[in-house]
Amino acid sequence: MARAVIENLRVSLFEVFRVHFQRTGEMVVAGKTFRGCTLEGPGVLMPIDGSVIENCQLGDSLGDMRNLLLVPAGQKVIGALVYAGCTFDTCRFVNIGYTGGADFLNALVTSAQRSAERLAQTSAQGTPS
Amino acid sequence: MGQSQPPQSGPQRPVVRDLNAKAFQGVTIPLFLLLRANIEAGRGLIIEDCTFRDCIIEGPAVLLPVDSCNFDNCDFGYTSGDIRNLILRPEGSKITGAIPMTRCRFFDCRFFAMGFTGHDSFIQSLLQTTVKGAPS
Repeated sequence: MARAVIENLRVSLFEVFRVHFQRTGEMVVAGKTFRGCTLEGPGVLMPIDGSVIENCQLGDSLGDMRNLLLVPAGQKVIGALVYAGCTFDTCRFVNIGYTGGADFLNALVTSAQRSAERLAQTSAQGTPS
Repeated sequence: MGQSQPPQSGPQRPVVRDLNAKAFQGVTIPLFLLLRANIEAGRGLIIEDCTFRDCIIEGPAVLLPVDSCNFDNCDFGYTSGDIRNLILRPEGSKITGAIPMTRCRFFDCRFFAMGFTGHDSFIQSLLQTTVKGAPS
């Protein structure tokens, strides 16, 4: 978990944080790439500073993407797992909530809606008439 | 939107040894590890019926108190000057990623790197807390 690139593993985002904190004393996990991983919670992820989430399954939203989102009540966030400059590529998140600025949260909702629409179109095209 | 790196303050406590206990006193407890022990022991995804006295409860994690959790004379941790920084409001009707605790009691505990979420009534009581207080 100390590696910069973690591929095809099932890992807890808290454990990744813990290993990072024990090695560096820093509470922000920085510069890691996760590819093809299952990333487990519970935890609330706050991606910052150019972190990228692409081609990922964000988790079971129970039909409403907003169920994965937690909105900060203040200007700062305490208690989240903060990942800076990290890439999450083709990962699956399990029991992870998301927090951050309004732009990030809105982008997550929009991204989920587009994915759902694409899935619906694909299903409709594949349905025999 | 900034993230805040809370400084450790106050006297330290030894790290907990038995994560399967129901009563904890004078120890440091990473909340994630407590939940993991709970799951591995077959007790499920909710931490139930635990009592914490004079403990440090560590994150990073977001605590979801449900069903009669009590906080008595607790320090909710570094707020970066605004207690709202400890609070994450659920956007939907369900909450994902938080650690639920039910019928747990906290006496004279200190939280570190811990956010809090829950229903409006809990959030309102936490907002009315100053440095120490007792939302229930």
